[in-house]
Amino acid sequence: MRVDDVSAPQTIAEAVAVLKRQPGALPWAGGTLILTSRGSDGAPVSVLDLGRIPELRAVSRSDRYLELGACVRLATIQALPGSLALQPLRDAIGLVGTATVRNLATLGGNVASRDSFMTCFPSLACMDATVELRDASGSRWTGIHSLVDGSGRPAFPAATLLTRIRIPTAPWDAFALHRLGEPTKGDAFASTFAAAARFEKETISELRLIASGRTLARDRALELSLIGKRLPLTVKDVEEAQEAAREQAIEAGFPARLAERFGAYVMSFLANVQEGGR
Amino acid sequence: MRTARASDLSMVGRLSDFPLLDAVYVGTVRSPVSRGAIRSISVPHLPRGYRSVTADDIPGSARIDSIGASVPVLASGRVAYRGEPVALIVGPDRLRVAEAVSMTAVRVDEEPASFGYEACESRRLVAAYSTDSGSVDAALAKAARVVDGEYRMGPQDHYYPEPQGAAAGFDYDKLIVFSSTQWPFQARDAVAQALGVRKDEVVVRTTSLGSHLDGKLWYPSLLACHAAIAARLSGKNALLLLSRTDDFMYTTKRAPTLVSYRAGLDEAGKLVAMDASVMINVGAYAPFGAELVERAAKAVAGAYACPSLRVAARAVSTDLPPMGAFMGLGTGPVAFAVERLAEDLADAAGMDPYEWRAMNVARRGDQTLGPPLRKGAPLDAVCDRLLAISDYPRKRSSFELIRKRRPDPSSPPGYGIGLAFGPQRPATALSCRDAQAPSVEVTLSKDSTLTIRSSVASGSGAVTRIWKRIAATSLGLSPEAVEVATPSTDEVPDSGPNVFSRRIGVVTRLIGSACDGLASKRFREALPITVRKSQRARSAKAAPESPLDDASWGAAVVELELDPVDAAPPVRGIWLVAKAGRILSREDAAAALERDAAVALGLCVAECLDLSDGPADPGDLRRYGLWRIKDAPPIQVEFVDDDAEPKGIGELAYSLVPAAFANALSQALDSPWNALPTCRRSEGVDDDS
Amino acid sequence: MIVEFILNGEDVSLKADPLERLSDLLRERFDLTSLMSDCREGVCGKCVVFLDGLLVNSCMVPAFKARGTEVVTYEGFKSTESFATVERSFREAGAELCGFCDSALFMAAGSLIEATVRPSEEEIMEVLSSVYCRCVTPSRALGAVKAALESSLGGKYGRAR
Repeated sequence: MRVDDVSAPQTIAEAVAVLKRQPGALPWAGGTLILTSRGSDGAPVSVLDLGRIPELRAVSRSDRYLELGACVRLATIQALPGSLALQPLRDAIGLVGTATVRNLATLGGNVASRDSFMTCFPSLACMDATVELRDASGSRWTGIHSLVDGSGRPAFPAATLLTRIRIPTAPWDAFALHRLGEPTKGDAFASTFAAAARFEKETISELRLIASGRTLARDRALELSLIGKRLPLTVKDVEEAQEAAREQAIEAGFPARLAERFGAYVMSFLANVQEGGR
Repeated sequence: MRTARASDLSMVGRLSDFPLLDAVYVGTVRSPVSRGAIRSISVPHLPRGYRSVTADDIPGSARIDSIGASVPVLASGRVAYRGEPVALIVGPDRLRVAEAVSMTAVRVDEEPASFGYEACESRRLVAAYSTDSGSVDAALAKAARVVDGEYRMGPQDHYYPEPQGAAAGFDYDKLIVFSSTQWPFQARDAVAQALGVRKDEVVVRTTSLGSHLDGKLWYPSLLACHAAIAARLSGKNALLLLSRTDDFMYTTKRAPTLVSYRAGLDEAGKLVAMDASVMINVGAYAPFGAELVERAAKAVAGAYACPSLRVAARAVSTDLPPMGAFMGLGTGPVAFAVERLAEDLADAAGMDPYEWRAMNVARRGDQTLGPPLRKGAPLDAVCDRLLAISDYPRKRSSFELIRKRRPDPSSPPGYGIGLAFGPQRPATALSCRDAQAPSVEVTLSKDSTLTIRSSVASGSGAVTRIWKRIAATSLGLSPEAVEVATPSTDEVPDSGPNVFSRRIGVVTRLIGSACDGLASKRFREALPITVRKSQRARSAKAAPESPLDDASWGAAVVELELDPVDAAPPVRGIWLVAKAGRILSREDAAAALERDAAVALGLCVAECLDLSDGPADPGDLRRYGLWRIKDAPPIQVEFVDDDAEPKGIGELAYSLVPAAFANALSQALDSPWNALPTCRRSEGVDDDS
Repeated sequence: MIVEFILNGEDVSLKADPLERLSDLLRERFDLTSLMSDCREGVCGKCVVFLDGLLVNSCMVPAFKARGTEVVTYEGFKSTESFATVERSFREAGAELCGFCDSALFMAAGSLIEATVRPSEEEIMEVLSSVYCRCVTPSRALGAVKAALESSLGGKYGRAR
């Protein structure tokens, strides 16, 4: 990669204006993904350095949400008070690089990847995060699932800035996070499994079972079929869920081995839910 | 730019810090294919001050002797592996040199390459070692039980703290070479050979070694030749530094090894015969081939008595880059294999693994390896303590109950604890081209400072402190008055290669002896006084010794619990007990063993490299998982008191931890685990490309 | 482009390609050889520096990102109280290092001393693991950092003395 020029706006409005002029400009937050994924060849690019925009580094809290600017560093999120119900995200962040890399890497950079879903994505999806996107036509909030296209692939819109991520802070009764595949163990892409559940009067009131890597696998029909079921789930329900998850992952293009693993993690999560969750 | 003569650079710590004193950079042009005849080398037009170097430009010998092999300095006529150095580009700007390298076209008439080694054609066999004692076939035929096993250890990278390289510069008529090498005199000889000069016209100074896992015994000599030739031809200081990627792809790796056994037991579980085969993939040129097969063959029976033993160890050349030494020089994979076999044999005999070992351990007088053992293998002494601190017997029994009584036999039991016991052979010479008489010198100066000189001085600070303490105590000096000279081949005697814990096992003793000699002369002769001590080679007339005599011994226990879903084996603890003579510094020795155990465990579960289809590529480096210190489990180390002379412990963890780990994993899976490392790239991996 | 930042307490300005890595700039233009340019992918940790007070892999910082920042390398860190504390603690703990990773590990330990929240053992090992090192004994490194935390005088990173 070669860089033609670098714009360093001081406000989001300026950044959006740059993108309007140069739709192909490369937004650069921490840049850790960019530097490790791009070679030194290729046409020169224009860089949009987002590091000088204070709003993108802001962290704010309300009763119901935690709002993070897209350039908030992963290490900053890890250091947030433990009382915030952020464990699924914290666990995911702990899988990213090393501590010093997490001092550079940003949540926005992790979410806005265009080649594959990165480690934080499934946790944020489980937590029903919403994202603020800004482009020349204005800004909008949308569910994080809007960043997934119909075939389960990343669909971050072009010429658009991710500016904020909003995470509901209502706690989850059970959650799990696991690496599903790792390049250092022979898998082409890192993949991550995230699951979360809430209970009400000994029934499952909410359930999320998500795996993502190059594509995203999530079977909402499966989740809905288990919502309302009494705990503990029957062996039959758990086994059927395992199989449904595995098939969903295959359909989403996961390699057979990882699809099998997804099913196994779904089964393990639902079985643990029977024992009182995490 | 600062300028200085190379000789003024008395100490360069890291090669990457070599001062850029009007130096030239050396880039390496490499073969693009694994095998074939070189048709042409097309170098782009080079600006003034830049030049290319091919085999035709080498002033001296185009091949260097490297531990039993003859290795081209630069390939000429034919290439034997992808990445083999074919030419050098030399010039003052690093980036322009790199650009010129990338633009240089090497055309080779490619021939089919062969990377497999398990079924060897005779023309690929480059070294062999075999023994045959007793009546193996007859004993196996009569055995009550016969167990077959195949155990594999894959290639792994040394992942040096600094990628390999070399620097060189002239000081009048002497060439000074800076090399991170375990064997500076070997590097000196290689450079002299390549330049066609006398050995005393070349000086090699050792830079910081860091953690090397025995990978810096000969390859640095090749790089030293490249830097030296560049310096000679350019008339300037020359610096060659491999990138991490190039180091990973082209320098030596642990030689992949397959160990196969057929072993027979009698009714009581006693080992009656063993037929073992060791196949080692040594890559191209096969340096160390003879050494690897001999050491592997002598390790095949481990610590056990076996009246009938047949061993065939073979080194097979393939079209991979030269494979190399890893800790233990061939014994590591075999130690893994024999300790896994021990567990399989115990299982076949229906015995507890420790009890099987106790029944079969080689006792005093045992002649499995030829000469009778003077002292038996100290299984009881070592394992009594180990079993106590690890609680092995109780845990093993509990885990066995879990294994046998689990409700669903199709799912793994999940808990495992494994034991391994074995030796580290004494710090003897390499069988080929080692120093005739490893030597050290000590000099007491007029100002009452003592200087210790040895070519293996570079390395562990703990060992250096021990030397200083011994010397200081012997002569009534303070340790601050003792210096250890930087190894420079013009200033220190040849102590041989820094391998097999030589620093502790041999050099420490020589220093003590030399200081005693100094003490006796001190008040009779004028200062400065220099005393030199050498280890005499064992007389050919002396009675032959068992390779296990004077070994250090150790045992390890590893406990693990599998992740219920992906069966990843988090290790809950490692326990190590060693009996290694008088321990000169318990704290330092314990720290070293703990560190080695952590690294050895990391090598078991991570650091996967698959060369079965060909040499490594940059993607393999990205996929090469590195364990971190946070991944290390609790590790407890103890020593058994022993009055014998100090012995080495540097290989023990690397021999014992892998086997103990695999034994634990086998129990936890209720299925034998016979290959390391556990992560496998090509097995069962889905095609995501 | 012109890149201006504060380096070990001094204002510096140089011309650099926007994507030139900070690790390369520091080593080659300023001769700050304490950091090593090895993996160039944020894996080995041998190039860590303090960037606006945060320990980061300088190989992952392009020149344009260094503009207007405050960078402290090991050479600058060595003049601080935190360094003295860390160096002494490692020595007393017998946490022997090989000479390649020392500066990076000391900086990692230093970052823990300067943290506003006392780190747990897990957090200590997590930060130390930013530096890939085969030489250090894990328990000794942990012990060294814990001892350093006990005896640290605190203080902030700012311009080096």
